[in-house]
Amino acid sequence: MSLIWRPPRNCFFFLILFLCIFQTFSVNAEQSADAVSWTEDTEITAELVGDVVLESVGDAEDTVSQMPDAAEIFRLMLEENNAAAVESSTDEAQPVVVAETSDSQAESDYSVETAQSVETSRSAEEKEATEMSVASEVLDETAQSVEAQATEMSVAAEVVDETEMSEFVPQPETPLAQAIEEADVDTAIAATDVVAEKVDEEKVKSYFRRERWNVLVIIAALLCFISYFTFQAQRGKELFVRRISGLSALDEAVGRATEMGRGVLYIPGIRDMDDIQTIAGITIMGHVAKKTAEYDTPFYAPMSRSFVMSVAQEVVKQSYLEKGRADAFRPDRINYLTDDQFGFTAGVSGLMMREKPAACFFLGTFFAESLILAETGNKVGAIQVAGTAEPSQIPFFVAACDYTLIGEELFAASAYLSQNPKEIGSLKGQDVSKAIIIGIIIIGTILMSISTTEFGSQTIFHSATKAYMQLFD
Amino acid sequence: MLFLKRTLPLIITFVVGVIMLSAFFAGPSLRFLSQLETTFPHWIRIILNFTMILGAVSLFRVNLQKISRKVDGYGYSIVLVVGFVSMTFLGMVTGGWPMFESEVKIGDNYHLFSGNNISSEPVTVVDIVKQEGLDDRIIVETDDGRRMGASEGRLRTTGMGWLLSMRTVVFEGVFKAAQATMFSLLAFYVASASFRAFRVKSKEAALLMGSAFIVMLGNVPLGKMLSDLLAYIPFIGVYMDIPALKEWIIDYPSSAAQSAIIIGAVLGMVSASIKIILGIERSHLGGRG
Repeated sequence: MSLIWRPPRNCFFFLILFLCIFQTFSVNAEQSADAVSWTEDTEITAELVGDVVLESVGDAEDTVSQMPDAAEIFRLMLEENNAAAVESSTDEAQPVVVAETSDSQAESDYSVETAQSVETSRSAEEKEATEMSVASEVLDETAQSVEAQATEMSVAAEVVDETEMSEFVPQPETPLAQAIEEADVDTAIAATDVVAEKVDEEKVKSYFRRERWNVLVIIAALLCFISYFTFQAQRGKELFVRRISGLSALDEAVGRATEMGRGVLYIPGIRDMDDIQTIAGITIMGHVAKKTAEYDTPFYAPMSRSFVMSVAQEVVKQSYLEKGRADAFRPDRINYLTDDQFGFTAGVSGLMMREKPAACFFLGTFFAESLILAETGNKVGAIQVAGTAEPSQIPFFVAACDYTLIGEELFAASAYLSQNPKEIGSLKGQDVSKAIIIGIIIIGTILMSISTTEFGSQTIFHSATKAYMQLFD
Repeated sequence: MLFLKRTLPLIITFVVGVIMLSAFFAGPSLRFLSQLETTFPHWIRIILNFTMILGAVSLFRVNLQKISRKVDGYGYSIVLVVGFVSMTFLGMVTGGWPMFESEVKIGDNYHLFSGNNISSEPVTVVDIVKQEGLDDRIIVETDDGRRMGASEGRLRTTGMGWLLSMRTVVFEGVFKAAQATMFSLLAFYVASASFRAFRVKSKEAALLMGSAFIVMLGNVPLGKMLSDLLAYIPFIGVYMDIPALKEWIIDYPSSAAQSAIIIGAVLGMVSASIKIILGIERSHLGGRG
């Protein structure tokens, strides 16, 4: 008879169900507490219960008198809204205008040249005003046409630009000119408002997010390449996959652990199953578990997420079944520790120091705990294979582990280990996509480098670079 | 059985994957679809919360087995079980559950609770102001006669105050301190890992060592002082600005390498996701991939 009391097994279910409901309630309570915490924290103050020093009333009145009145606030809001509308419609033309304006400001010594430029700008404004009136008519008549929208927007934008510029350029002080100016501004704002409304309507009616078309193109291209190369691989075409030393070392590490009579430790990251790196880690875990089943090596896999633990138990169990060693499967060695990052790190480090595994695998998402785990593994003399797609953690693994899978190699592991033609094909498709992306980056780099030089900024390279960058923005 | 274990998960994965992909591209006209982009993560959170059952069962079973069999290091398991049970108890009792709270009455003594702190001196309820559509405002008075307002959720009885204090001691004094200790170990591990990594065994290691040396020097005042001295060397002295060299290493070679890793990793993620959605990759369901 055991000295320690063990609760009946049936109690576990109810206990855990209760804990689970408790967790859900506490999460909800935390969320609602977060929502009201500000008001509640500020509630325990003297001011809110009338325990306020009366002298402060005078200060409050002064503060109120300094505040703008409602009409002023409304006017400021209107100005802000108009400015926002103007900015949205003149997104393209504005930088040029600003540049011109700054130039003219620099020379604003009322010289003869400046006066000439003012005259030129005035004539341009009158011309634009004429165009604007035509544009307004077009706006009324062919408001539904998308092409008309583009024309109107460009015309409206030019007029607004000119209007903005006129704020900085010295102006003739005739009342008539001022009246024309104000009329221009009003007309331009009205036109841009109408255009903006129509654009909004178009957006509301759309079934597709146009701003994400480039993502769609990339995914579609990737899908095409994967399908093509998978088809090729299935037809028997041999596709070359380079040697990945980290993955080749998996078997070697398990073999070493077997020879030394010690166990193997596997950590598939500290994130949940909704992380693709965790899935990749679990995939490799299946392969390692087959080897440990084959060699009858103890396999330890502490988990920081209970859902991952459940999946890992299934995967490892299946691996042991495939090798005909179902009896050797120990589910208690694939156990949950804690969700807490450093609590988990402490637990795994303790396990390492006690069990002294001869091989450690860290494949998945890792953060600050990566180095602590890898260094502890190093201390117990284990051969270590690590892999993550977190760029900030790769240097730590490189420094402390024997082999490191960098970024994409982690996702290539499944295909590399299984040698399944379908997966090899997908790997090849991924490589071709990468080659295309490298090409795009090189073209972009060249264009950008040329366009930023003195020679390139005045030529077609400048506009080509702009268009190119917009394409992938 | 095989249908439930393999085929059904594959069908669910495919359907949900396609829905999520469609939701990502769905415009405002397909609001019901585009809203799933924000709704589905909530579902995931709920499901993951309920998987606590699995974790707690595993934790309890493994550690109780260790205790009953008295395996090596079973003392740790005792600490774990005691900690688990006590924190669960303290958390449940002090977590603001209605069943553990009594009605607030005028003249009763309470302690004020805010965040993780509880007032040492009790306050007395002197008035309860009913507010239409809002929680009652409770006016409390301190020993020195100062009055203030507090919500009902901020009042704790003396017994509850003790339990809250215990929870705070265990959580802030033990758990948070242990957490900070683990994190602090990182500093020593960085030093030992760097020492091993910087041993010059090859050309690449020498390059790594050189770059690391410049970056380390550039981050400390000594680097600036050294640059000022090196500036006196004719011709090349002006180019020996260590902080500027550090910036260059971080901004260009390091940044370029990181970008390359990120691009590769993201492509790998997209590719892996497509393989999972299409059912090409199914190792995570157990068995052959």
